[in-house]
Amino acid sequence: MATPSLAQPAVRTDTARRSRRLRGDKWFAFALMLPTLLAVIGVSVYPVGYAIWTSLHNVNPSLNINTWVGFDNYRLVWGQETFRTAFSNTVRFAGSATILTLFIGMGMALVLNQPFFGRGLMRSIVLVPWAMSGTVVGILWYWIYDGGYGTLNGILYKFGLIDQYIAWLSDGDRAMNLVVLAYVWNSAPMAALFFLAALQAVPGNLYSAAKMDGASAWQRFRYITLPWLKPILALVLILSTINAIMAFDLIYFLTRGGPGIQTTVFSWLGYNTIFSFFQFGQGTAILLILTALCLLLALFYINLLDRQPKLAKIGPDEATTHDLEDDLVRRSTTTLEIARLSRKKERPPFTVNGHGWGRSRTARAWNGRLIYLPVAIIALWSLAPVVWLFICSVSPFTDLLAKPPVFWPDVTLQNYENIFTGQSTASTAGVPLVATRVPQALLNSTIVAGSVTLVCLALGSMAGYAFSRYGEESRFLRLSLLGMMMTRMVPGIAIMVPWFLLFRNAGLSNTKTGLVISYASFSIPLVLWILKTYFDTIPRNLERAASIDGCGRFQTFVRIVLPLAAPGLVAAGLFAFIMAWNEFIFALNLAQTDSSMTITYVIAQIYGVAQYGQQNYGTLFAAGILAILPPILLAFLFQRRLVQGLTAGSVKG
Amino acid sequence: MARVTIEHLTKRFRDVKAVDDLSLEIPEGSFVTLLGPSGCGKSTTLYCIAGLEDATSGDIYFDGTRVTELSPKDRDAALVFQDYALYPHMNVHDNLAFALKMRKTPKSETKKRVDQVASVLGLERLLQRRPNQLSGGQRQRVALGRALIRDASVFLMDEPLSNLDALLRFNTRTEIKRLQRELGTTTIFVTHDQEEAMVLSDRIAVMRDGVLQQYSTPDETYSRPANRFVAGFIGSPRMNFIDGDLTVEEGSTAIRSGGTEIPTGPQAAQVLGRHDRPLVMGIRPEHIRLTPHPNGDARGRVELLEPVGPVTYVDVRLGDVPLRASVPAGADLEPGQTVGVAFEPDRLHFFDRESGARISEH
Repeated sequence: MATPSLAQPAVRTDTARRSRRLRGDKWFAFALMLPTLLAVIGVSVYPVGYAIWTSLHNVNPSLNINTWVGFDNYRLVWGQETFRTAFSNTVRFAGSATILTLFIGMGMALVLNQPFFGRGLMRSIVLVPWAMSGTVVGILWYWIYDGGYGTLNGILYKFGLIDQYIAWLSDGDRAMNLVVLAYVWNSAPMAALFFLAALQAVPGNLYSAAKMDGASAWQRFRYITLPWLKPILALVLILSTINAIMAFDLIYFLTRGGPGIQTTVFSWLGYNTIFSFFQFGQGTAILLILTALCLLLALFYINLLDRQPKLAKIGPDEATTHDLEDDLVRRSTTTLEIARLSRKKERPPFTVNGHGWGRSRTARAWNGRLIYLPVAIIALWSLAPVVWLFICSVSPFTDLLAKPPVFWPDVTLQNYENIFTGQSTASTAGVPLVATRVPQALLNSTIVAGSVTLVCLALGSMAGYAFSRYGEESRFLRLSLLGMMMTRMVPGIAIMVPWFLLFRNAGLSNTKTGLVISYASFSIPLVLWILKTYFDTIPRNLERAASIDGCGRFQTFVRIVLPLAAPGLVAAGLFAFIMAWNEFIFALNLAQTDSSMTITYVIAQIYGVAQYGQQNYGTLFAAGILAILPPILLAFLFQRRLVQGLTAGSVKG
Repeated sequence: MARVTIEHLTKRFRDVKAVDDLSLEIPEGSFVTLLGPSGCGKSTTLYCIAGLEDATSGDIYFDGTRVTELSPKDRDAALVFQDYALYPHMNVHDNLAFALKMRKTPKSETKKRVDQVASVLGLERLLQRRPNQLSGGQRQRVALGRALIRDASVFLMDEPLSNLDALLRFNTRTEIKRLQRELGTTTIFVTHDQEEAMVLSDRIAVMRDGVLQQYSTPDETYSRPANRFVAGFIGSPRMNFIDGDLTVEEGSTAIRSGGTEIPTGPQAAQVLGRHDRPLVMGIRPEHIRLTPHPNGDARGRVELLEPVGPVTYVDVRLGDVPLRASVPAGADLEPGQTVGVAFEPDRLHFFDRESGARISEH
């Protein structure tokens, strides 16, 4: 017989053990998150602080003299005409780019969510423009818009729509619109991807139910699809706006802020102030104003769209859910009332009041085929420019500079051969020296992007798991998650200068390691978010089962959770890889030696040579094709997993 | 309320015939159940009636009006989904009112109908809640309410009870029957649960692999199953089937199976007279009599007892033939005991062994 004195300590040990375990959970979560937190603080928070410091000083990096000037830099840039023009340009560019990205992305997603033959292939095809780097998009659209030889001119001329070639980008308004068009071409697929992932998660029965309730196609979109997309809409809106505000690559390749300053946006202005005029303090001030703008917008969007739905309060007395207590007698009388009402009306025999148009079997068969029209448009929109880039890359020199352009050239692989052999021949107008760096640069890019992917997945999965499993309970974790997501709102260009100086002091200038560190720090927040939402969908009972089977916490994470999160890991990894492979500004300024230069840097160099001298565009396009092959290949291979990985997360939004 | 007529309905998905030449007449105001195992085409049939699936061939009529090519909206049927398909982003009130909103019903009328339906289903205090704040049973009632609210031509229900726990299922079943009787709306109900079908229906349509097996009243389905499949599907525990040959010796009829002879009644002789192909005899557990002290008849050995309260299921072995019997609770039986086994002669069923079709006595 158990005596009370025996029972007492048993209870106490139990509580002690319980609280010890809870504390263990907390430490485990903290340990998982620590590397990421340190990384983000080290590579984001510190540079932002440094940037603020820089903006308050007159900086001369070569003499290493820094003079405190207070808010003079801000006052100075604020007073400039250029600043105000750049502001309105930024608003116009980002505004129109974001709206178009949302609409086109949504349209693509809606089409790709319909059943049709070849849907899997189409889902990969729309990703092509997204997988391409801004640099290649830049040279491609530069060539399309070019006033001297351009494709657009060629097509219009051939069909007799224009009498002579037009310098499209020489008019400020038109230049702005054309840059927006090229930008949206590149950015819409990502919006489409997120929307598609969310659409995939809509239970099909909701649409059936709405059809039964008499909702038309438009009403189903309005009352089912749109509300469902609302959480993901907030995310896409934030990402699109921030990306558009930070847009740099296309401006660099298409207009360089011109004509005059009519396409000069903040990022270009800040970049130029720093790297062309060496006004570090003023340039940083401009970019910090841009940063503040991004943060404000993000907060505004979150407030606007991500409000918690108003839930009814459930009082304790109402919480009982048992249906047995219901007053059957009372209900019975009401039913009879309804029955009486219905009978009073005496329902007439069924008659058709709709017109029934378009519902005959043949009409329906045709309706099914109607989807191929938008599908064809999307395919054309996504592929035609890329196919044209490929055709150009196998065109001989003379065909490229022909007026009107030769759409079916004498195919030659000379441009590719030149890159790999460094030889120039008569048909290519000489090969710039920098083109011979392409193979090395491809290798560098592979190493950098691969390392970034590994680092992001390792750190992001641990931290994502910590947030997913313990984030609700700990205020500290919640706040650090918010903080990390906020770092995604800081435009990379804004912290260029601190990075530049940091790298120099740490001996990381012109090293791959430096690039990996900076790219990883940019990608981690998004990777973290994708993985956290994916982990949220993995049932906790699996971990409980594993712990009963004798797995430790970390073992459970590695052996049970990670394998199940494969689609999420693929999606997040792909994002990290493509982001790193395609990055341009940092590559342009921080890695200029043979052993560190990436493919985007090399393409910019070939572009410079081709544009201002030798006109060897064939080499440029061949390098462009080589540069987009790896990410496009990955996007094709992992498209299904990419959508899956995002879908699971988007259920919760 | 409408009379629903299905004529030669066929529905193909690629190469699979989900519904194969189905014809049914569902009288106005009646409660008809489509019953069958999963994959038998019952839900597909329901979706074709609703207009959510297009018939490959054949026609559907409401009150004699052809609706085969009408959209769900124009058919005006109401459907209760198996998983309820409540709109997660709307509260209960908006879920109920959605159909009326789509039909541009005036606000005052909408409010009246919502209040009425809410009070019928006891949802008054839940109107402001979202689906994820409701219990399974409450969600189910909202789903029912969504159908009730709009005075539909026909109610369609796709296994509406299968996600409820046992007690709730029992109560809701009663509730649905009561509502249907009081409102008198034509109702087509899909289930794989034969008990539900028996309790609720005016008529049951048993389906298998897209083909209609039998369409009759619950009583008829139970007592005169059209074939071996229906016989096995209706009734719990399942009907016993014995492969055997009929023998008639000196006026007494017996079925011989695996070295055992089981005496049958004189009716069996009539069957024998017209049927010389191999056959299967069927007997329901509740129509087997076990006697503790065997007296001449067939003798069996009790193997297992499963008391379920009012009755006890008994596994008996008759020679090589395993049988399951259902006897009143408290019967004096023990495993290993030898008992006399007798079949109620007018409760025997005979089926063709090859085709499975019922061999009629008449």
